[in-house]
Amino acid sequence: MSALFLPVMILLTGFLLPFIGGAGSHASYERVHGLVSFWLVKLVLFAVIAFSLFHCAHRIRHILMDVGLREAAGVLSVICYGAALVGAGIAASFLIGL
Amino acid sequence: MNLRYKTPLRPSWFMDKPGFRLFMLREATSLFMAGYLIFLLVWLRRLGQGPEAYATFLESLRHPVPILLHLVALAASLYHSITWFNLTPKIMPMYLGEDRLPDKLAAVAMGFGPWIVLSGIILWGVLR
Repeated sequence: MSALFLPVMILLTGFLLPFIGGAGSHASYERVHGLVSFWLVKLVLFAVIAFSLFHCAHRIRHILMDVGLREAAGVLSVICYGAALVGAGIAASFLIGL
Repeated sequence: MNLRYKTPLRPSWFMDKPGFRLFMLREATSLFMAGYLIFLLVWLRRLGQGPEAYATFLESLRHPVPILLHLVALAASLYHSITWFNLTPKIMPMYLGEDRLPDKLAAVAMGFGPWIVLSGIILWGVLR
């Protein structure tokens, strides 16, 4: 899911929206807000963000274990997956609040 | 897990072979993806705060540092996606009847094709 969605999302938020997403354009605040407020888009965005966060947390944990922190695997689990869980919660609250 | 014998491993083991280095490079893309996901949370928050907050935020993105960070994140995510789609047919081969499809063809059918189509649909949906 990260592989499918993230490149196009980076392209949008990093380049297309800031440079052509002004007032009155096709990607104005009203349109983007309306689009993201649609329940299906919210659901997909939440899934992409939550899965990607856990995917990243898992890989960062394994990078750290691979470079010598294998002893701290348990602590790293709590930190990495805990951070991903918090991030997913924040994403949910922001999406619900839209 | 409590193993009696632990094989010694230097922290820089992945610099020993080109394959190891590429593996670690691919794993390291997750750091940039994590950074981008945090940015995405901020983006969602600004979108929820109303037109003024969102416009100010977009304005702040039109500067060299955020553009550079987005370029790095884009490169990282493209590397991650492309290596993943090349990998999937090796994990999950596609068969047509009894014949195994060539990995390249299966990668297009399972990965690159859907990826391009989905990206196109999202771009069209947002920008039309």
